[in-house]
Amino acid sequence: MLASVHAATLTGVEGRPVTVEVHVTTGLPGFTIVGLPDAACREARDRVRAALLSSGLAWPLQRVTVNLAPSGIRKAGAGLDLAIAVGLLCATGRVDTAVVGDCAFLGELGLDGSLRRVPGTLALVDALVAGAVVVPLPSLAEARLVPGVRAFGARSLAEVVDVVRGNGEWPDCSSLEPGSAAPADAAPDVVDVAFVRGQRVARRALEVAAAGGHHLLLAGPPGAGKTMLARCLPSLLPRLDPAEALETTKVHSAAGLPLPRTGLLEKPPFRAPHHSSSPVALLGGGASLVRPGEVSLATNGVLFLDELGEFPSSLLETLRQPLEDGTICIARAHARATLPARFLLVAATNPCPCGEGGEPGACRCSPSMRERYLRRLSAPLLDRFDLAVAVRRPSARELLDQPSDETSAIVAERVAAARSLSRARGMSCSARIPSHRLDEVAPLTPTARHLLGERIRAGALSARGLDRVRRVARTLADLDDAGDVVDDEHVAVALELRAGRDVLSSGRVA
Amino acid sequence: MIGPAVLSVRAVLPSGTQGSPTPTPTPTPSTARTICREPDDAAFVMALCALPGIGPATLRALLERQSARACWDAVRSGTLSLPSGRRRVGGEQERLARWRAGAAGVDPAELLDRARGSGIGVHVLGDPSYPAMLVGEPSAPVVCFTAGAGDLEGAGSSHAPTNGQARVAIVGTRSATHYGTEVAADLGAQLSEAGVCVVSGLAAGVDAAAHDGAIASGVTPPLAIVGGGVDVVYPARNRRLWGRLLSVGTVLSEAPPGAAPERWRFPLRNRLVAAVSDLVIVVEAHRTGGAMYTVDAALARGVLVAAVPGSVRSPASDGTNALIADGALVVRDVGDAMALVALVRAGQYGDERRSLARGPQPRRSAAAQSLHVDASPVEASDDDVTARVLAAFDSDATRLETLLARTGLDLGSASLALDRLVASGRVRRRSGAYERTSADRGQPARQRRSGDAMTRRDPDPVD
Repeated sequence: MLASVHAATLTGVEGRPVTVEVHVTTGLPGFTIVGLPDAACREARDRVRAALLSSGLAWPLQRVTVNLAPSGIRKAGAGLDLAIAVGLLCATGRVDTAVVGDCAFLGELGLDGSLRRVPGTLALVDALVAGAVVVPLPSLAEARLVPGVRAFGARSLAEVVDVVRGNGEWPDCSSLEPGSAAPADAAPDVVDVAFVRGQRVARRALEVAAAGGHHLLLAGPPGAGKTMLARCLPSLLPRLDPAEALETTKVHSAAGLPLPRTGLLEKPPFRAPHHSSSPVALLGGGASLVRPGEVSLATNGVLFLDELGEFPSSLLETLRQPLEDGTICIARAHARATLPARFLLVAATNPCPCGEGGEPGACRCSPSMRERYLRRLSAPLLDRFDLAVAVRRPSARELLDQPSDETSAIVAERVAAARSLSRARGMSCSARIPSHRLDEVAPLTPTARHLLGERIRAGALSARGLDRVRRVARTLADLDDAGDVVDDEHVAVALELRAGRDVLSSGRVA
Repeated sequence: MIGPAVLSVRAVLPSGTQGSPTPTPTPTPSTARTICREPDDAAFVMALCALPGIGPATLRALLERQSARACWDAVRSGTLSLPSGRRRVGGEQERLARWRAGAAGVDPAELLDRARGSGIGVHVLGDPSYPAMLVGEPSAPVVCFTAGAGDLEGAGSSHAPTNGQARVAIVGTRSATHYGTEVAADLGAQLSEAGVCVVSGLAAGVDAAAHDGAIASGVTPPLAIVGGGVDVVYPARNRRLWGRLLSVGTVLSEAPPGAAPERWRFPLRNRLVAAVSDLVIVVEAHRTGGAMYTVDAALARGVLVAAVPGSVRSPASDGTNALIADGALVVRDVGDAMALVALVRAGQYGDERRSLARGPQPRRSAAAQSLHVDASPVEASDDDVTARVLAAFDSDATRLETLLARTGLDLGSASLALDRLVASGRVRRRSGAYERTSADRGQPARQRRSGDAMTRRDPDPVD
């Protein structure tokens, strides 16, 4: 007897439809899985047998061959367990093939027959050719995000068998088990900007970064509050729009990260990989299965690199492609994937190994130490930062006296308003204004033009730098709701907000 | 303390004089003696100088005993013995063996041709081309090498040994702060404009900044005295500066071309920096370090030492402030430096030094007065915002945060005002903060802070 069941497997963050074909025939009892299964997938044999027996279903004492088609692509993980079990039941005639014909099955089986969540459910369901899908109950919310597919949830194999045999109903989705997915809604690391004392310039830079999507570099001594400032950023960013939310959720789901109860990530992710992260952890990859890395997990959100100078320079250079294209292309011998990687890069760094480089006379690093440290931050990488702010330790007075004036909520409102102005021009934020549209989108007043001209003549601004300043000035004008034209004040602030990179060249002569 | 002219001891025979090939009997170490010369022995002197680990004093002691040619032959044949004063306990045989190995296969004539072919000047003590400024230095190198477009006065020229040109050494720590590099660059530029040759070691930090300033002004060719060979750029980050210096000034070294910048060469280099200068200005120095070698060498030669005062909290000014506390003269700007140069050259300092240090303002030389930077080209009346920003400055670098807090201005108008001030050269950005430039230092900061004084500029306060 032959039966085939729809399922899907994951490559990168994209699903690929898979047909599970089960052939049962007479012969020596045995169970073979063919079609490029990986180790976890091949172990499905033992899980399926135990789950069937635990659910009170007989294991056929016949020769069973399972083919995962198309056999050319590698199948990873345990997500095909349920499909194999259902296929086996069809092939041995215990379930009517016609009933499951237009239905796909996704889920990992426990030895007791329970169904477990599969990473990447969203992408898998999206890739299905079937019109309906059965998923483990915890993944139901996620599966229902895909339009055009009827999704049902089940707790166990027995429940699935009962329903397809016509003996029961799908469990009510309102009975979702609490705690089945970690409550990612409460992001614990986010700091309200009102808690930051002093740092007016850096706070303004954060606001501009949030509103315009400009990459931000914070340079300053230890204890200046660089990390705290960066952690404020998520509270300033607007919620993701539906398309962005779906894209980000897909990546997080594929990586097996916890999703909020609704299944959809609506808040921008904030990823802060440590500087000891491996290239694969940061960029994505893996031997056979391409997993999304931190750059992809930060899609539509913030990638925060603390202690930028401690990251290996080779790793930092690899960030240039995602920063330029918004995607990262990963190629391995057995797999190839293009993952989204459109993030807002926020980096914090000390100006030198001892950290005191910005303060006159305080640094005890030799020039060669300083140079070695700064050499990791290549000019092309530093060039990607539209905003670079020198952060200093707040004074005692600032720490103790000054009341916090603006909360994140107030700033976030301005940010949202600026973003909607940008969307009205046809781009998600001003950092993505193409150069050829700058004259149209961000026209300069004569005084602003004069100011920039002076800088260019003085050799302090390159052509590429000019475009970046104009984009930041556009964001500043939007935040002030200053109309269509960018005036000299906005240009002056934009120049000021990128001038902080000079602490990273401190002590160099000639 | 006595002036350099008093200390100078004639150490050179007139050129062409035949040196005695026989070893001169034990002289007293305190007096400098002649070295043995033969015609066309420059190649052998150079070859000896290039032996591994041979220092200038040893070389000199060898050549005081026998001619370069004889000495070279003795090295090659292994029959050389070290002069009594240059023997170390143990290791003598190893040293001689190392020299012998180093001399094997070396053709002195080819060595000389190669150096001259690549534009390096080879000057042996006693040659007419030997730098006049080193004549009279008791520890003058037997041979020195020069490169670059600069024109050093030779000992044989008609002016010699009057030391026609004024030379000022600007020295200091390699890990200088911005304050140090800035002051060094200003002094370098303005001294060069005043016709003074700026001497330094072309090291990182203060040295490089001083030369950078002197080259930028482009008036007087600077002189760099380096530890390694004149064709060995060190530190590598100075490569561009080195090239620029060669195109206008002179690089001088007593190490042969290609010699690595070994550690032991630098203190020796520093003695030459002190020896050729009329005045040594220490811009920034830690309590110990290379700059202090130069200071010691200068004091030993009676060369005037002056220091630029710095913050008592800055470790990089520790050494300079200590020098001042010990009685060194103070240099605040080019005017101070020029006054001291004028006094040195008029032979007027010495016992007066103390009174100069304690007494009233030193008289400024005519050159210093003519040199004093005039008020910056700033429009007569600043607008109110600019005035408020200017008034909020500390005497040193001030952060934008601080300026915002003091003025109560928003980021936009403050940025705009700062941009105008930077454009007009009255304020400059420095490592994440702003500071007033020397062009804007007409009045002390305290006066500026109060009231409306900053809207008009007082007449230049040069006395």
